[in-house]
Amino acid sequence: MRFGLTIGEYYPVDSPVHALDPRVKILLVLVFTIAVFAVVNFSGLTAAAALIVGVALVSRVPIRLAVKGVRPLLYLLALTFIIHLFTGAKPWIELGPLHISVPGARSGALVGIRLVILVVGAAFLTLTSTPIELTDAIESLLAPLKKVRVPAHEIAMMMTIALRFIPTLAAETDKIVKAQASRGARFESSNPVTRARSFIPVLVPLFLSVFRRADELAEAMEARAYRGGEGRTRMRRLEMKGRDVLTLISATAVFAGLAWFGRLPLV
Amino acid sequence: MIEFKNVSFDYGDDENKINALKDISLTIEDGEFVAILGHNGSGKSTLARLINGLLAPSRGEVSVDGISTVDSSAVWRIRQQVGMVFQNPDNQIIASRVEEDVAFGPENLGCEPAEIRARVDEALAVVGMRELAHFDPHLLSGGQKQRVAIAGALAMKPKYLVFDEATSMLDPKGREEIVATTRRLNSDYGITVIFITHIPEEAALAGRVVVLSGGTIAMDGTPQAVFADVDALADLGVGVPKARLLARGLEQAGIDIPDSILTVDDLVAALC
Ligand SMILES: Nc1ncnc2c1ncn2[C@@H]1O[C@H](COP(=O)(O)OP(=O)(O)O)[C@@H](O)[C@H]1O
Ligand SMILES: [Mg+2]
Repeated sequence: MRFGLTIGEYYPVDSPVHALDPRVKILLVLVFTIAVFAVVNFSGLTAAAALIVGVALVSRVPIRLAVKGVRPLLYLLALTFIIHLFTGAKPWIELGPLHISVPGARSGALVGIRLVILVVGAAFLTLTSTPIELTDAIESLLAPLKKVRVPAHEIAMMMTIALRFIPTLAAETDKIVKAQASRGARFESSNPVTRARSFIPVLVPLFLSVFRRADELAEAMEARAYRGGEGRTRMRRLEMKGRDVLTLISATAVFAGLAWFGRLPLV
Repeated sequence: MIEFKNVSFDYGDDENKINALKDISLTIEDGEFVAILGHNGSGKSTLARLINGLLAPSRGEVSVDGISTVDSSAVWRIRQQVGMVFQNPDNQIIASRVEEDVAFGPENLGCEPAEIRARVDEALAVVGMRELAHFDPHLLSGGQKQRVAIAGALAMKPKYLVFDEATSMLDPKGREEIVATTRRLNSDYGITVIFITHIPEEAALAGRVVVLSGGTIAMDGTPQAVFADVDALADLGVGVPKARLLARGLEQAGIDIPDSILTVDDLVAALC
């Protein structure tokens, strides 16, 4: 049994997209999301898909890696489509007892394709930025919100520590699962109650270990003069270069054009 | 100079009080390499945490360069002056890249980015980890992780380094790496080292050995003096270096051999 977590499967190549300031990438994902939600015709979605293919080519990331992220959503997509299909407005196509809505089929397909495009587009953020870059970017983007008590530094510190400990805890879970399995725990039982109960002897030691680690880590951080974000500096500072600003402005303009195009009375 | 003046420390509240340290007085001079030896529960970790103000004494006073550790305006200065390396290599590394982690201390001190960069590079070079600066710490060996932890402390430019059983979770190779590194920090960089351990062989390499037992100082002297009385140490639950035991066995068997033997090298020199 594996508990390998794949958070931010960074794809390490050199490309203009990789080199872009991670804050610009986060902002552009947000703008892209808004634009795609504004799109209400298939021509617009096709244009959005074409933009993604363009990003894939420039970033030199195989597009299948980005498409992989859609797989866990397949059930949700199918369900959404079916709900739209059977609950939509007239005209209906009557198939025996079933009423299939024609506008429902259209809106279901729109919603589904839109979701796929958003997930695939957003995947390029984590494929082309390291988790450390993303953490720095989030801290920097949230910094102005400190005035309204958004704990920007604390959020970034939590992300840092989570990234640091996910592999350690995954390895530890694996070890405990193997130890319990060798003592007869029934993780593969077909009875869901038995299966769920078999995880209790995994979770209890895991939680105890997590609390112990947290205690020790807190102490180690204090020993290194940690006292929260106040007065703290960073070794690396994100630097917004001319190229980054230019990309932000021009891509925003392109996405605005996409939203406009997506609302034209086309197919 | 680190000074303990009649220091006691109690854990818990009044009802179930655990008196971990009892009226300890101890002075550690600049440049010393002091080993603190004692069996489980003798108060070693408590003593370590008192030095940098992670714990405040229940009675008495602990001072670093004349400044009391309970002086709240000086506590950050004391944490900068006294670096600490803990037992579990996994639970003291904060970031998922070696150089990020080493930068953590100077970042907390508010150093300028260029200054932090320089300190990180230097600290990693001192512990021989520069090539691995971009690694994820979970891919490193135990000894390498502890060297990252040492670099993290060094990047704060400390005067004192406290190691709390920093070798006890390592394999023999990792242990050797850490012991060699600490000796170099003391001899080449003039850092005062307080090396807590339960391994007599490691303590024998120090300039001075302090034996803790039940929260009091049972012995304090050169390794030769402390390890001379094998039976008294056994009563305190502390072993002696194997070379010393062997030498004593040889002596009892009638072989003329000096009392001062502590390491295998000493033994080789005396016998060959
Ligand atoms: N957080 C704590 N709460 C209560 N008692 C503690 C705590 N930490 C240590 N002790 C007790 O204090 C005594 C000294 O512990 P410690 O300084 O950790 O010894 P050592 O490091 O030599 O093993 C032991 O009896 C231990 O049980
Ligand atoms: Mg201890």
